[in-house]
Amino acid sequence: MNAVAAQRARRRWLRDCLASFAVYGVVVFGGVAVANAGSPLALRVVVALAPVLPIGYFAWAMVVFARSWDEMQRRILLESFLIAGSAVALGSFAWGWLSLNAGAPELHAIWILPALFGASGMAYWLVSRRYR
Amino acid sequence: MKNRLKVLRAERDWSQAALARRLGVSRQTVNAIERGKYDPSLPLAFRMARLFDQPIHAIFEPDEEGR
Repeated sequence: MNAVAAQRARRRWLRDCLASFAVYGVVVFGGVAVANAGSPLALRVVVALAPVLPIGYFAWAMVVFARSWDEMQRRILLESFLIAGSAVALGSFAWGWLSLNAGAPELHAIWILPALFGASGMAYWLVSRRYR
Repeated sequence: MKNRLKVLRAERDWSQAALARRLGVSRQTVNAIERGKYDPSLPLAFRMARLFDQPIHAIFEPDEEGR
């Protein structure tokens, strides 16, 4: 990929990130208002699932951006996701057993996605050090 | 895998960034290949061979472990 195409991909990524998080913020805060207003169950279900759409778009934008990367960057990304996915899966699995058998407080499943993003970022930093 | 990328680049007085631009990869990737931290794919190795007008085996050779 040439420099112009890479620059265009970065701009698109930035634009997609800003758009998805702006929509996410509106949907979440709007959703709280709807939930607090004692709305019917069907509307609450729609509102509860609405934040998935902008985050799904964010995930898709990440895939599109990663396609603009070169082969080594994609390998680093793949290794990072493997490590992060394994860490979050094992962590939540272990926490689940601790909750069942050792009185650890139950954690909401909503934290899995932020944990995955956070762990992926840390794993990317760690894995990329191997290639320096 | 060992390689002569750094020597070939120096002969042409190219920076890592300049070589990366010509190959369509990031500067970090060129750096990793030069340092033997990353082995390029066959298509990228062919692009390098074409760019330096050398056969692939004149640029890359297996290291002692045969990697």
